[in-house]
Amino acid sequence: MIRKKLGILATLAASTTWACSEQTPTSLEDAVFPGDIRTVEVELPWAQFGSGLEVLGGYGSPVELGSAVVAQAFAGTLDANTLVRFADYPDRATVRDTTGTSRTDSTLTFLSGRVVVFMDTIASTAAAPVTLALAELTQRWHPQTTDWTLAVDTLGDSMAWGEPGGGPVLPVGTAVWDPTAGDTVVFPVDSAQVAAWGDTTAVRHGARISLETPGERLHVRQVVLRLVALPSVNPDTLVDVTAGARSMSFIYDPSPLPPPDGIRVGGVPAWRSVLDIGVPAQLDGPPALCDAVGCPFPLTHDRVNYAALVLYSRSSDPAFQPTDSVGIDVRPVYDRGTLPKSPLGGSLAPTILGYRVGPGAFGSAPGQRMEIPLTGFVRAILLAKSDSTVKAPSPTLALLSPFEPVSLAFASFEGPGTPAAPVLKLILTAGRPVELP
Amino acid sequence: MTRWRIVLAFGLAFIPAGVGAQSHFNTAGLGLVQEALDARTRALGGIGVGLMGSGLLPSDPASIGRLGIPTAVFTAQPSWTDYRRSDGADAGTVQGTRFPLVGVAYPVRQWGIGYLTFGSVFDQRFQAERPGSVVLGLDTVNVVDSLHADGGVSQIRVGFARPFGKYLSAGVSVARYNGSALRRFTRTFADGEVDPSVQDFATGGLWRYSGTSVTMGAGAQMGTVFRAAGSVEWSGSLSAEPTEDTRGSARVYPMPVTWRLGATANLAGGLALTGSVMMADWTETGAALVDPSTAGKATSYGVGIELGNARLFGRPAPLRVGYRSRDLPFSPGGGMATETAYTGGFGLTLLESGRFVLAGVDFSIERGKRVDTVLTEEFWRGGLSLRLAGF
Repeated sequence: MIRKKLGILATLAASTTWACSEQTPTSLEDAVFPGDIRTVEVELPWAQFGSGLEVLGGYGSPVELGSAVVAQAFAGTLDANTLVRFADYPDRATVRDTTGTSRTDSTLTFLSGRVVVFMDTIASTAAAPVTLALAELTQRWHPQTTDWTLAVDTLGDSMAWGEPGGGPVLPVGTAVWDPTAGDTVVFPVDSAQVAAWGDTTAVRHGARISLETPGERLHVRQVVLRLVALPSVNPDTLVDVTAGARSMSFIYDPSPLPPPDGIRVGGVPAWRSVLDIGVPAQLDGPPALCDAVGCPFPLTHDRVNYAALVLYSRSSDPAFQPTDSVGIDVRPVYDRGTLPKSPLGGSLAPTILGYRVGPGAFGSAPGQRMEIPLTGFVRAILLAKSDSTVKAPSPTLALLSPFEPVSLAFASFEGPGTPAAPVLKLILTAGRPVELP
Repeated sequence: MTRWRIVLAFGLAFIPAGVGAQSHFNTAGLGLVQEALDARTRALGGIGVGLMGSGLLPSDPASIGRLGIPTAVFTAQPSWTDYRRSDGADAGTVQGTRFPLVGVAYPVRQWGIGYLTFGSVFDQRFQAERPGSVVLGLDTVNVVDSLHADGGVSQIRVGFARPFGKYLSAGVSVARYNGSALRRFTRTFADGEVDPSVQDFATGGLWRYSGTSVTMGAGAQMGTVFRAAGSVEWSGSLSAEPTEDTRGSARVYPMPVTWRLGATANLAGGLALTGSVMMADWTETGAALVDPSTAGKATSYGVGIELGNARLFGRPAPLRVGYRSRDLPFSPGGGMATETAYTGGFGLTLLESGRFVLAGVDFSIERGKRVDTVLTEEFWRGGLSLRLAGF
């Protein structure tokens, strides 16, 4: 009986208190706030935060791109040829025999074929029909290391092309591509050429696709060899089989040189720009800051609301100007001393696509401002300065393409020493400490 | 099964109901002064001294001396407050629940009663928001400043009381101030007006309170006819020490000496009249604030009537009404404020043995008003006290 009453009593108490939802009062008085909290925006010139800018190239190879380029005197300078090594021909196909039964025929006779080139109509510059040429390579080449002048450039083995640009070659034919009519170009191939490319033991195994119409740059998405085969089980019919590209690369000329006063990101092989960020422990200007919060202004991590590296775009070499938006990624460099092979840290960009910039910023409309937020990075540097137990992040950052390589074109930005040199934008808030009444 | 229900129910009852508050007066000075009172005292408009019989009230050591048997008390205090600024700029409602008094007393051999109480002193919970804008470069960006204050001051008290002869009793206790104050200022930038990676600005700190007070009290009771008691609480300074990573400075607040005096007279037929008064001078405390207030001498008084013969469900259920008034030393207007309330309630004895109540519950309800120069609050304040004895 007693327990029952106590239970009722306790339940009553619990429900009484538990049922009361809480509302914290919102003060009506400004006086409760700490006084003189100010937020200001400042931009530090390069000399106050940046150093050690270095542009490094050679990351990746055109063969890794998954697409290729052909160009003929594009922007007056760029020549590019696509090189393809076809995969082994299919050794069997399913066909209907003379009785109408489907059978697998492993004795195919290749009669002819056609090389089909799939173009990227968006990335290509051509607006009118252009002529492309197909040829057979005549010397061995290495897809991963070949360039305009060297067919092979591996460790301990270097061999130049007989003619720069993949030559000499044996012409196969030409074809016209009308970008308004479709996205494929077809080169007929006779049985002798089919047999030549089918000999996988031949060291010269490969094809070159070049552009004969000057002033254009075309992007090749894929190249395949469609083969016309005669099956043994039914000599009265023909079948089409496909040999894809085992390797597809491209070679181009001229190779761009590192910019003496700029920042470059992208291209293939890819360019990276590396720089050191040194955040000062205190600021003595600019006057706008000093007027607002007083100087010297101790720069601590908790006062930094926002930090961003501000870059101004410049026109890339016309031959390498992007035709699509460009992604910029930023990653810490763990050990600058081991560059260009230093491992990189995780991306500081919010998405895997990096910070996107339209192609015009590097072509017809240079000087566009781009902010690369580094808030967490800068706060971590400042926190390490004030707290010896916190490990400081590497001060070296790499600006690079989110994927390497991603395009022949690259992004260019003004570098130190130019009127539009990079700046470090900071949004800072400061005020008196919060006190008890 | 029933035992588990009891344990569960009590467990729920003792879980603090989160951050809440009862008044905008929390924002002023050291906050709203809390009183470690039980529901019986509240219902009678009392200030915590001089009620008839025994009780576990830290402000009335003499009444503890007459407990006689082990006793525990727990009090919950929900409130609902409507507020409005005198200039009409704002109005609304806040609500919250506090647990102003938890205590246990236990006989120490034949010497007397030792007791331990935990009670509230100041409630400092509130938050504030202020919209504004900042100029960043060529743009004006909207921001919201907010201040979140959490915490308060409480006392943990250890004391000893005992009867002296048939009529007199006295007691003494030592209390330690504890508690903490968390204050955090945040400036938030409007979404969509700045880069998503812009982080809020936040600063603040945590202070821990400490200090000591001593309370002495004595009382005289003549049967069930009359009882009078008084107490005095001397307090050292209340210190607020910032934690290591707090940039704010330490603070020291002188605390006033508090005098309490109360009496109850049984008029006739179980009808008792009670009255009490409390005085404290907060002048030095107010002067020690960063923005010195005009806090001065604060007086509280209360009167009440208890009808002891009432019964409910066949058990004693005394009915109570009262009125109380107290000066609040801190207010948003900067000076003294006044709180007045009409009070009422009843008790219910669940189990008794002889003259001892082994289990009882008291309820109180108050309808009151707090007024200062800029703010008026009207509130309902409930009270629920559980009292168990003889365990």
